[in-house]
Amino acid sequence: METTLGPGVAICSVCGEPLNAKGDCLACLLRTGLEKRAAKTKPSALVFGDFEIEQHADGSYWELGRGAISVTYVAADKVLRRRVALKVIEVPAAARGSHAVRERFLREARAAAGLRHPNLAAVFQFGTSSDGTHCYYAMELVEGETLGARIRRDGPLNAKETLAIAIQITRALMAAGAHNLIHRDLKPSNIMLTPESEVKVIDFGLAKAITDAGGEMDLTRGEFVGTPSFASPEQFGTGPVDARSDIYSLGATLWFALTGLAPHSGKTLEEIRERKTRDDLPVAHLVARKVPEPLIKVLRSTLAIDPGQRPASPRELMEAFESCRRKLSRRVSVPYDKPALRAEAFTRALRDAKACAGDPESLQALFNSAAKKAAAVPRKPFKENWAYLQTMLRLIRAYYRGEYRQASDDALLWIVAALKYLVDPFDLIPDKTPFLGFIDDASVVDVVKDKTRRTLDDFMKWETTVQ
Amino acid sequence: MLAAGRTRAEPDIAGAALAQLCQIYWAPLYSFVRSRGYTVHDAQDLTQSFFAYVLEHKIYTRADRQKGRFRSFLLASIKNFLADAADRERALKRGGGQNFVPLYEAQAKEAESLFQTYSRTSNEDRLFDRSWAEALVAAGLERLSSDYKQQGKQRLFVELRIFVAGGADPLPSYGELADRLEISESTLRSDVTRLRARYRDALRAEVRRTVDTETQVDDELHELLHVLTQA
Repeated sequence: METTLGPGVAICSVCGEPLNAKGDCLACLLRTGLEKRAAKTKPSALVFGDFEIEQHADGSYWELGRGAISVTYVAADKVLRRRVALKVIEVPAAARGSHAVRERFLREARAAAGLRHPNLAAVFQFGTSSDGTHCYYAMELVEGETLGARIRRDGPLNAKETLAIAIQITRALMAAGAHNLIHRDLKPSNIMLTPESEVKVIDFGLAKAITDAGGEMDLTRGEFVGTPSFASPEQFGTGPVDARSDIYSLGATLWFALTGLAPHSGKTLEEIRERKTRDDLPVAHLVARKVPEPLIKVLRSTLAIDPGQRPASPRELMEAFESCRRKLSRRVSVPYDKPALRAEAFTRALRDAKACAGDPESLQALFNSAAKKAAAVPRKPFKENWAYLQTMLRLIRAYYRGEYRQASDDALLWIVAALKYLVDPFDLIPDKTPFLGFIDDASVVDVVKDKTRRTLDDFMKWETTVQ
Repeated sequence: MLAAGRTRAEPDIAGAALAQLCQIYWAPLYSFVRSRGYTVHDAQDLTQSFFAYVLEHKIYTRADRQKGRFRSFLLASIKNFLADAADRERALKRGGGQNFVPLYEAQAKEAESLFQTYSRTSNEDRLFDRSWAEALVAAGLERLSSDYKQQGKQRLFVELRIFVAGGADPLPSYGELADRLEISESTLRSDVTRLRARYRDALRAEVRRTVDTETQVDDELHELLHVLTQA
């Protein structure tokens, strides 16, 4: 050997060559450069049920994110030939033989898969690998980035942007509430923002399924599930958690969106728990960011230590956010003199309706909400379009009662969107609130009539026949 | 021969690339100058002046591609530069003072420490090659480290580095390390494979900047390995 650097010189444990001053082995480092190209030994396909993990050009698997016990990949659904986000959870060796662990995961995943809403990333399928080493579920692949990534890139959001996101997340919470599901791990990295400014909550109802699959925790014993900085105080304890826990986490997430910081942070679980149970919210952070008082008030209420002091349900929270938005915008109807604004509001209504396409339950929920508001609208302001509004309402009611099914899916979407727009153009009015504003928008009625003329004509003929 | 000096239509870009290469390979040149008996300050000034001379006079464009590597070219050039008494004197009188390649204190210290470590056991050419190998792998590791950092996987890189760079401690078992990183053993194995493949590509890309073909990359790596391990 050329180098005789004295007795103190360190030797590489792998090849026996002397190490350099940094403790690295130059010979090992150079030899690695002479190894055969990795691409030639492309890793084998990774398949879970009907899903095959996609690979980059260099053969590495296409990862979207990584958690403590799970990895999310882009995968191809080989049966339906579509791309999905596949979350794969590693079952620890100790829990692999457990039938109970597997059943618990499947039960939770099944419940989550029943949820459908435009603001929730849909869960398509779930399962466990035959050898019991992995659980997985396939979700809608949402284009865009997480709220966390957006804040890290662009910094905190303003109140208006935050409120728009808050309302969409609350809609998702309301839909989940109807299925008695709670998220348990609502946080910036579980909120996806699409390029069209839509919000999609991911992993809804699956935090428990994931931990169940991990076999480490059991909520019936009250152990911790969630992400400490965004978890509610009761998640640290042994008591039950309910929708108000998600409301707390949403408050913490919005706080993060407005300031770039979680309201309570710390280096250990104990430290965070201790801070969460002290009544000292750093409201100065919000004030420094010029967050308007009404929004600060709502956030304070969501972050109350006692769940009893928080909004009692997502619906109540929605009312608080909407009241807040009204206070901030002071506008409840679409001005006649701003056609662009009107067009935008209708496009939004149509997009919401289209997002429910293929999911009759969500579409019906959308219709029910619009119909409820429409029922409170007096005839007078609608003038000549009143008759069309009523015809559209009758058609959809008959459709959902199963009496009349001849309407095409496309026509239904347009009619629901038109109703939604005409009775509440800015989507501001909570169901229980008296009608606040309206427009008799002939241009929209004309467009909808044009799109659905045959459907409406056929329906009216059918009505005459029935009568 | 040299990607940086090849693009004559884009002299600024080529110049910038060359300046970056000179920055990376500053230490080997400095070690060589030091091995000729110059003091620390004189060696620093001379190395700076040499790079200034290379860039200013575009001598890389005169190099014959067929003659091979950037490493051999620089070694031959610095020998000529030092042999030219007029150049040398002029450089020392000017006190270096050339800003073509910025000189950082940490970089200068590290180069001196490298020289002190190997100067007693290597002749000047071998010292140059050894320093060159150090600079090369450091650039490859740096490239890899910043990739992992960008992906927020800095900890993974630090923990798995030993599988590429070796070290005095025995390699950790996959089981223990997987437990520590809280990932499965199979995930860890694929992480290690990926890290080694990425390092390999980073190192070869670094070498490829100084030679013309993939075959020459292999030759260059074999030669440097031979210098390090020859009896």
